[in-house]
Amino acid sequence: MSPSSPVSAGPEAGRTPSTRGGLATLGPGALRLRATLEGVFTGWAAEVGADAVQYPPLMRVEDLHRLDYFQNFPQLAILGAALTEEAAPEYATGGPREASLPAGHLTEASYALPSAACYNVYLDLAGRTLTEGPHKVTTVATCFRRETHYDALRRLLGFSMREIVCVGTKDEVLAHLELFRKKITGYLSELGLPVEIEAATDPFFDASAGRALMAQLFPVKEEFVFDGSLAIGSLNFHRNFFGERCEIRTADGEPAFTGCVAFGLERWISALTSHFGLTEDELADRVLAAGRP
Amino acid sequence: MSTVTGFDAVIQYLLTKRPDLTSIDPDLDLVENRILDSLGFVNFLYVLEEQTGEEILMENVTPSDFRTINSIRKRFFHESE
Repeated sequence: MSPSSPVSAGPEAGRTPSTRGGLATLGPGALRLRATLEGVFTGWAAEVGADAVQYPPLMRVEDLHRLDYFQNFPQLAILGAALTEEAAPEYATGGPREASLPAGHLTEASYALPSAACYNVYLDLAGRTLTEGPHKVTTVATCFRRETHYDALRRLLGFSMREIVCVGTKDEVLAHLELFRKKITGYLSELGLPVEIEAATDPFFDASAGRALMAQLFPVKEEFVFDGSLAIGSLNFHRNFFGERCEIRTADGEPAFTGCVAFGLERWISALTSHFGLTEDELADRVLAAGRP
Repeated sequence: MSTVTGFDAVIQYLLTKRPDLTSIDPDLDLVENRILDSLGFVNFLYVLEEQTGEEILMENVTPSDFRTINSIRKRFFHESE
Protein backbone atom coordinates (compact mmCIF):
# COMPACT_ATOMS: atom_id res chain seq x y z
CA MET A 1 0.00 0.00 0.00
CA SER A 2 1.65 3.20 -1.09
CA PRO A 3 1.19 6.23 1.18
CA SER A 4 0.15 8.43 -1.74
CA SER A 5 -2.78 6.28 -2.76
CA PRO A 6 -3.88 4.33 0.28
CA VAL A 7 -7.42 3.76 -0.99
CA SER A 8 -6.69 2.23 -4.35
CA ALA A 9 -4.87 -0.81 -3.03
CA GLY A 10 -7.92 -2.41 -1.40
CA PRO A 11 -9.52 -5.52 -2.84
CA GLU A 12 -12.50 -3.53 -4.13
CA ALA A 13 -10.43 -1.05 -6.10
CA GLY A 14 -9.81 -2.88 -9.31
CA ARG A 15 -12.83 -5.10 -9.44
CA THR A 16 -14.83 -5.21 -12.64
CA PRO A 17 -18.26 -3.66 -12.13
CA SER A 18 -20.92 -6.34 -11.83
CA THR A 19 -23.97 -5.77 -14.00
CA ARG A 20 -26.34 -8.56 -13.16
CA GLY A 21 -29.70 -8.23 -14.88
CA GLY A 22 -28.86 -4.75 -16.18
CA LEU A 23 -28.15 -3.43 -12.68
CA ALA A 24 -24.60 -2.22 -12.13
CA THR A 25 -22.50 -2.15 -8.98
CA LEU A 26 -19.53 0.20 -9.26
CA GLY A 27 -16.56 -0.24 -6.94
CA PRO A 28 -14.27 2.51 -5.66
CA GLY A 29 -12.12 2.69 -8.80
CA ALA A 30 -15.08 3.02 -11.20
CA LEU A 31 -16.67 5.52 -8.84
CA ARG A 32 -13.54 7.68 -8.82
CA LEU A 33 -13.48 7.60 -12.60
CA ARG A 34 -17.15 8.53 -12.70
CA ALA A 35 -16.58 11.43 -10.29
CA THR A 36 -13.72 12.67 -12.47
CA LEU A 37 -15.90 12.54 -15.59
CA GLU A 38 -18.63 14.34 -13.69
CA GLY A 39 -16.08 17.02 -12.80
CA VAL A 40 -15.43 17.59 -16.50
CA PHE A 41 -19.13 17.71 -17.43
CA THR A 42 -20.22 19.92 -14.54
CA GLY A 43 -17.26 22.19 -15.34
CA TRP A 44 -18.67 22.62 -18.85
CA ALA A 45 -22.13 23.25 -17.39
CA ALA A 46 -20.72 25.98 -15.14
CA GLU A 47 -18.93 27.57 -18.11
CA VAL A 48 -22.26 28.10 -19.88
CA GLY A 49 -23.98 29.36 -16.74
CA ALA A 50 -26.15 26.30 -16.09
CA ASP A 51 -27.74 26.07 -12.65
CA ALA A 52 -27.19 22.76 -10.87
CA VAL A 53 -30.53 21.29 -9.78
CA GLN A 54 -31.58 17.98 -8.31
CA TYR A 55 -35.06 16.79 -9.17
CA PRO A 56 -37.24 14.17 -7.47
CA PRO A 57 -36.24 10.52 -7.97
CA LEU A 58 -39.70 9.53 -9.23
CA MET A 59 -41.98 11.18 -11.77
CA ARG A 60 -45.73 11.43 -11.59
CA VAL A 61 -47.61 9.51 -14.26
CA GLU A 62 -49.98 12.47 -14.72
CA ASP A 63 -47.00 14.71 -15.53
CA LEU A 64 -45.67 12.20 -18.05
CA HIS A 65 -49.05 12.15 -19.81
CA ARG A 66 -48.59 15.86 -20.40
CA LEU A 67 -45.45 14.98 -22.39
CA ASP A 68 -47.06 12.10 -24.37
CA TYR A 69 -44.48 9.90 -22.68
CA PHE A 70 -46.44 6.67 -22.83
CA GLN A 71 -47.39 7.24 -26.46
CA ASN A 72 -43.78 7.74 -27.45
CA PHE A 73 -41.94 5.28 -25.24
CA PRO A 74 -44.36 2.64 -23.94
CA GLN A 75 -41.74 -0.06 -24.27
CA LEU A 76 -39.24 1.71 -22.00
CA ALA A 77 -41.52 2.60 -19.11
CA ILE A 78 -40.96 1.22 -15.64
CA LEU A 79 -43.54 2.13 -13.04
CA GLY A 80 -43.63 2.36 -9.27
CA ALA A 81 -46.39 0.73 -7.28
CA ALA A 82 -46.93 -0.33 -3.65
CA LEU A 83 -48.38 -3.47 -2.11
CA THR A 84 -52.12 -3.20 -1.64
CA GLU A 85 -53.52 -3.03 1.87
CA GLU A 86 -55.06 -6.43 1.28
CA ALA A 87 -51.82 -8.07 0.16
CA ALA A 88 -49.45 -6.43 2.65
CA PRO A 89 -50.38 -8.57 5.68
CA GLU A 90 -49.75 -11.73 3.67
CA TYR A 91 -46.16 -10.61 2.98
CA ALA A 92 -45.69 -9.36 6.55
CA THR A 93 -46.34 -12.87 7.82
CA GLY A 94 -43.88 -14.58 5.51
CA GLY A 95 -46.04 -14.87 2.42
CA PRO A 96 -44.89 -15.72 -1.10
CA ARG A 97 -41.23 -15.20 -1.97
CA GLU A 98 -41.40 -15.25 -5.75
CA ALA A 99 -38.94 -13.32 -7.93
CA SER A 100 -41.75 -11.00 -8.99
CA LEU A 101 -44.86 -9.79 -7.22
CA PRO A 102 -48.17 -10.47 -8.96
CA ALA A 103 -49.92 -7.42 -10.41
CA GLY A 104 -52.96 -8.29 -8.32
CA HIS A 105 -51.00 -7.56 -5.15
CA LEU A 106 -49.99 -4.09 -6.31
CA THR A 107 -51.67 -0.71 -6.20
CA GLU A 108 -52.26 1.24 -9.37
CA ALA A 109 -49.02 2.89 -10.45
CA SER A 110 -49.15 6.64 -10.22
CA TYR A 111 -45.36 7.02 -10.30
CA ALA A 112 -42.79 6.20 -12.93
CA LEU A 113 -39.03 5.91 -12.75
CA PRO A 114 -37.46 8.56 -15.00
CA SER A 115 -36.04 7.33 -18.31
CA ALA A 116 -34.21 10.60 -19.00
CA ALA A 117 -32.97 13.33 -16.70
CA CYS A 118 -34.38 16.36 -18.51
CA TYR A 119 -38.17 15.80 -18.37
CA ASN A 120 -38.17 17.22 -14.86
CA VAL A 121 -36.46 20.39 -16.05
CA TYR A 122 -39.39 21.25 -18.32
CA LEU A 123 -42.04 20.24 -15.80
CA ASP A 124 -40.33 22.35 -13.15
CA LEU A 125 -40.36 25.40 -15.47
CA ALA A 126 -44.02 24.90 -16.43
CA GLY A 127 -45.98 28.12 -16.78
CA ARG A 128 -42.87 30.32 -16.65
CA THR A 129 -41.90 33.11 -19.02
CA LEU A 130 -38.16 33.42 -19.47
CA THR A 131 -37.56 37.14 -19.54
CA GLU A 132 -33.82 37.06 -18.90
CA GLY A 133 -32.57 35.13 -21.88
CA PRO A 134 -31.98 31.40 -22.13
CA HIS A 135 -32.34 29.30 -19.01
CA LYS A 136 -29.72 26.60 -18.55
CA VAL A 137 -29.81 23.77 -16.07
CA THR A 138 -27.62 20.79 -15.34
CA THR A 139 -28.78 17.74 -13.48
CA VAL A 140 -27.84 14.12 -13.03
CA ALA A 141 -30.35 11.33 -12.53
CA THR A 142 -30.48 7.62 -12.23
CA CYS A 143 -32.57 6.70 -15.25
CA PHE A 144 -34.38 3.46 -15.94
CA ARG A 145 -35.25 1.82 -19.23
CA ARG A 146 -36.85 -1.52 -19.81
CA GLU A 147 -34.90 -3.05 -22.71
CA THR A 148 -35.05 -6.33 -24.56
CA HIS A 149 -31.52 -7.16 -23.46
CA TYR A 150 -28.82 -5.73 -21.23
CA ASP A 151 -25.12 -5.69 -22.00
CA ALA A 152 -22.60 -5.00 -19.23
CA LEU A 153 -22.09 -1.23 -18.74
CA ARG A 154 -23.11 -0.65 -22.36
CA ARG A 155 -26.82 -1.18 -21.85
CA LEU A 156 -28.27 -1.05 -18.37
CA LEU A 157 -31.72 -1.15 -16.80
CA GLY A 158 -30.64 1.56 -14.37
CA PHE A 159 -27.91 4.03 -15.33
CA SER A 160 -26.68 7.55 -14.62
CA MET A 161 -27.39 10.37 -17.02
CA ARG A 162 -25.85 13.82 -16.75
CA GLU A 163 -27.62 16.47 -18.80
CA ILE A 164 -26.98 20.11 -19.63
CA VAL A 165 -30.25 21.63 -20.80
CA CYS A 166 -31.02 24.91 -22.55
CA VAL A 167 -34.50 26.46 -22.65
CA GLY A 168 -34.86 29.57 -24.77
CA THR A 169 -35.41 30.76 -28.32
CA LYS A 170 -34.71 28.47 -31.24
CA ASP A 171 -31.42 30.24 -31.99
CA GLU A 172 -30.30 30.12 -28.36
CA VAL A 173 -30.96 26.39 -28.13
CA LEU A 174 -29.26 25.64 -31.45
CA ALA A 175 -26.25 27.69 -30.33
CA HIS A 176 -26.11 25.68 -27.08
CA LEU A 177 -26.10 22.39 -28.99
CA GLU A 178 -23.52 23.62 -31.49
CA LEU A 179 -21.25 24.84 -28.69
CA PHE A 180 -21.37 21.42 -27.03
CA ARG A 181 -20.94 19.62 -30.32
CA LYS A 182 -17.59 21.41 -30.66
CA LYS A 183 -16.67 21.12 -27.00
CA ILE A 184 -17.30 17.37 -26.83
CA THR A 185 -15.66 16.68 -30.18
CA GLY A 186 -12.56 18.63 -29.15
CA TYR A 187 -12.41 16.94 -25.77
CA LEU A 188 -12.74 13.42 -27.19
CA SER A 189 -10.06 14.19 -29.72
CA GLU A 190 -7.70 15.37 -27.00
CA LEU A 191 -8.58 12.36 -24.89
CA GLY A 192 -7.84 10.07 -27.83
CA LEU A 193 -11.16 8.26 -27.71
CA PRO A 194 -12.37 7.62 -31.27
CA VAL A 195 -16.04 8.53 -31.63
CA GLU A 196 -18.28 9.12 -34.64
CA ILE A 197 -21.12 11.63 -34.64
CA GLU A 198 -24.22 9.96 -36.02
CA ALA A 199 -27.74 11.21 -36.61
CA ALA A 200 -30.02 9.06 -34.52
CA THR A 201 -33.34 8.24 -36.06
CA ASP A 202 -36.77 7.59 -34.81
CA PRO A 203 -37.15 4.02 -33.57
CA PHE A 204 -40.75 3.92 -34.78
CA PHE A 205 -39.84 3.95 -38.44
CA ASP A 206 -38.16 0.89 -39.84
CA ALA A 207 -37.80 1.04 -43.61
CA SER A 208 -34.22 1.90 -44.46
CA ALA A 209 -34.99 4.48 -47.15
CA GLY A 210 -37.65 5.93 -44.90
CA ARG A 211 -35.18 6.10 -42.04
CA ALA A 212 -32.82 8.22 -44.08
CA LEU A 213 -35.66 10.52 -45.10
CA MET A 214 -36.84 10.79 -41.52
CA ALA A 215 -33.35 11.64 -40.31
CA GLN A 216 -33.16 14.49 -42.80
CA LEU A 217 -36.66 15.76 -42.12
CA PHE A 218 -36.50 15.50 -38.35
CA PRO A 219 -32.89 15.87 -37.23
CA VAL A 220 -33.62 15.90 -33.54
CA LYS A 221 -30.83 13.80 -32.17
CA GLU A 222 -27.14 13.31 -32.78
CA GLU A 223 -25.12 10.75 -30.92
CA PHE A 224 -21.42 10.39 -30.10
CA VAL A 225 -20.91 6.75 -30.97
CA PHE A 226 -17.91 4.73 -29.78
CA ASP A 227 -16.95 1.44 -31.41
CA GLY A 228 -19.75 1.58 -33.97
CA SER A 229 -22.59 1.00 -31.55
CA LEU A 230 -22.14 2.59 -28.13
CA ALA A 231 -23.66 6.07 -27.80
CA ILE A 232 -21.82 7.73 -24.91
CA GLY A 233 -23.43 11.10 -25.38
CA SER A 234 -26.11 12.85 -27.40
CA LEU A 235 -27.29 16.25 -28.57
CA ASN A 236 -31.07 16.51 -28.60
CA PHE A 237 -33.17 19.26 -30.17
CA HIS A 238 -36.83 19.01 -29.15
CA ARG A 239 -37.97 22.10 -31.05
CA ASN A 240 -40.79 23.76 -29.06
CA PHE A 241 -42.51 20.54 -28.01
CA PHE A 242 -41.80 20.85 -24.28
CA GLY A 243 -42.29 24.61 -24.38
CA GLU A 244 -45.80 24.11 -25.73
CA ARG A 245 -46.72 21.23 -23.48
CA CYS A 246 -45.41 22.88 -20.32
CA GLU A 247 -46.37 26.42 -21.33
CA ILE A 248 -42.85 27.77 -20.99
CA ARG A 249 -42.51 30.99 -22.94
CA THR A 250 -39.68 33.19 -24.09
CA ALA A 251 -39.75 36.97 -23.63
CA ASP A 252 -41.67 37.41 -26.91
CA GLY A 253 -44.49 35.22 -25.59
CA GLU A 254 -43.75 32.30 -27.92
CA PRO A 255 -43.40 28.72 -26.65
CA ALA A 256 -39.77 28.15 -25.68
CA PHE A 257 -37.50 25.80 -27.58
CA THR A 258 -35.47 23.24 -25.68
CA GLY A 259 -32.40 21.15 -26.27
CA CYS A 260 -30.17 19.04 -24.12
CA VAL A 261 -26.73 17.50 -24.06
CA ALA A 262 -26.73 14.10 -22.36
CA PHE A 263 -23.91 11.89 -21.11
CA GLY A 264 -24.33 8.24 -20.11
CA LEU A 265 -21.78 7.95 -17.31
CA GLU A 266 -21.47 4.15 -17.18
CA ARG A 267 -21.10 4.09 -20.96
CA TRP A 268 -18.18 6.50 -20.73
CA ILE A 269 -16.56 4.19 -18.19
CA SER A 270 -17.17 1.24 -20.50
CA ALA A 271 -15.75 3.00 -23.57
CA LEU A 272 -12.68 4.34 -21.76
CA THR A 273 -11.92 1.00 -20.14
CA SER A 274 -12.27 -1.05 -23.29
CA HIS A 275 -10.38 1.39 -25.50
CA PHE A 276 -7.37 2.23 -23.34
CA GLY A 277 -7.07 -0.90 -21.22
CA LEU A 278 -5.78 1.19 -18.31
CA THR A 279 -6.77 0.99 -14.66
CA GLU A 280 -9.60 3.21 -13.54
CA ASP A 281 -7.20 5.49 -11.67
CA GLU A 282 -5.00 5.85 -14.74
CA LEU A 283 -8.11 6.60 -16.79
CA ALA A 284 -9.20 9.24 -14.28
CA ASP A 285 -5.80 10.91 -14.65
CA ARG A 286 -6.18 10.85 -18.42
CA VAL A 287 -9.70 12.30 -18.25
CA LEU A 288 -8.46 15.12 -16.04
CA ALA A 289 -5.41 15.84 -18.17
CA ALA A 290 -7.54 16.16 -21.32
CA GLY A 291 -9.89 18.57 -19.55
CA ARG A 292 -7.16 20.99 -18.51
CA PRO A 293 -6.96 24.21 -20.51
CA MET B 1 -62.37 17.69 -59.37
CA SER B 2 -61.17 14.77 -57.32
CA THR B 3 -57.59 16.04 -57.20
CA VAL B 4 -58.67 19.29 -55.55
CA THR B 5 -60.80 17.38 -53.06
CA GLY B 6 -57.87 15.14 -52.27
CA PHE B 7 -55.57 18.08 -51.69
CA ASP B 8 -58.12 19.78 -49.45
CA ALA B 9 -58.36 16.58 -47.44
CA VAL B 10 -54.60 16.72 -46.89
CA ILE B 11 -54.87 20.32 -45.65
CA GLN B 12 -57.68 19.30 -43.34
CA TYR B 13 -55.54 16.48 -41.99
CA LEU B 14 -52.61 18.82 -41.34
CA LEU B 15 -54.92 21.25 -39.54
CA THR B 16 -56.01 18.52 -37.14
CA LYS B 17 -52.36 18.37 -36.01
CA ARG B 18 -52.55 21.94 -34.78
CA PRO B 19 -56.04 22.71 -33.49
CA ASP B 20 -54.90 26.24 -32.64
CA LEU B 21 -54.58 27.09 -36.36
CA THR B 22 -57.46 27.75 -38.76
CA SER B 23 -55.28 27.92 -41.84
CA ILE B 24 -51.71 27.16 -42.79
CA ASP B 25 -49.58 29.50 -44.83
CA PRO B 26 -48.66 27.52 -47.97
CA ASP B 27 -45.00 28.45 -47.50
CA LEU B 28 -44.86 27.74 -43.76
CA ASP B 29 -42.23 25.14 -42.88
CA LEU B 30 -44.35 22.24 -41.66
CA VAL B 31 -41.49 20.52 -39.87
CA GLU B 32 -40.12 23.59 -38.09
CA ASN B 33 -43.61 24.41 -36.90
CA ARG B 34 -44.29 20.85 -35.78
CA ILE B 35 -47.33 20.44 -37.97
CA LEU B 36 -45.47 17.41 -39.25
CA ASP B 37 -43.53 15.52 -36.63
CA SER B 38 -41.69 12.26 -36.69
CA LEU B 39 -44.45 10.39 -34.88
CA GLY B 40 -47.21 11.62 -37.18
CA PHE B 41 -45.25 11.34 -40.39
CA VAL B 42 -46.02 7.71 -41.17
CA ASN B 43 -49.70 8.41 -40.85
CA PHE B 44 -49.34 11.49 -43.01
CA LEU B 45 -47.77 9.37 -45.78
CA TYR B 46 -50.79 7.11 -45.57
CA VAL B 47 -53.15 10.08 -45.91
CA LEU B 48 -51.18 11.34 -48.92
CA GLU B 49 -51.30 7.94 -50.60
CA GLU B 50 -55.01 7.66 -49.93
CA GLN B 51 -55.75 11.09 -51.39
CA THR B 52 -53.48 10.80 -54.42
CA GLY B 53 -54.27 7.16 -55.08
CA GLU B 54 -50.55 6.53 -55.59
CA GLU B 55 -48.04 4.66 -53.54
CA ILE B 56 -45.21 6.86 -52.27
CA LEU B 57 -41.86 5.14 -52.62
CA MET B 58 -39.24 6.44 -50.21
CA GLU B 59 -36.61 6.17 -52.94
CA ASN B 60 -38.50 8.71 -55.04
CA VAL B 61 -38.97 11.51 -52.54
CA THR B 62 -36.74 14.03 -50.81
CA PRO B 63 -37.17 15.93 -47.55
CA SER B 64 -37.99 19.12 -49.43
CA ASP B 65 -41.07 17.44 -50.93
CA PHE B 66 -42.69 17.54 -47.50
CA ARG B 67 -41.58 20.85 -46.06
CA THR B 68 -44.42 23.15 -47.12
CA ILE B 69 -47.96 22.88 -48.41
CA ASN B 70 -46.75 24.33 -51.70
CA SER B 71 -44.06 21.68 -52.08
CA ILE B 72 -46.52 18.91 -51.20
CA ARG B 73 -48.98 20.24 -53.76
CA LYS B 74 -46.33 20.43 -56.47
CA ARG B 75 -44.79 17.05 -55.80
CA PHE B 76 -47.82 14.91 -55.04
CA PHE B 77 -50.71 16.70 -56.72
CA HIS B 78 -48.73 17.81 -59.76
CA GLU B 79 -49.98 21.37 -59.54
CA SER B 80 -48.15 24.63 -59.68
CA GLU B 81 -48.86 27.31 -57.06
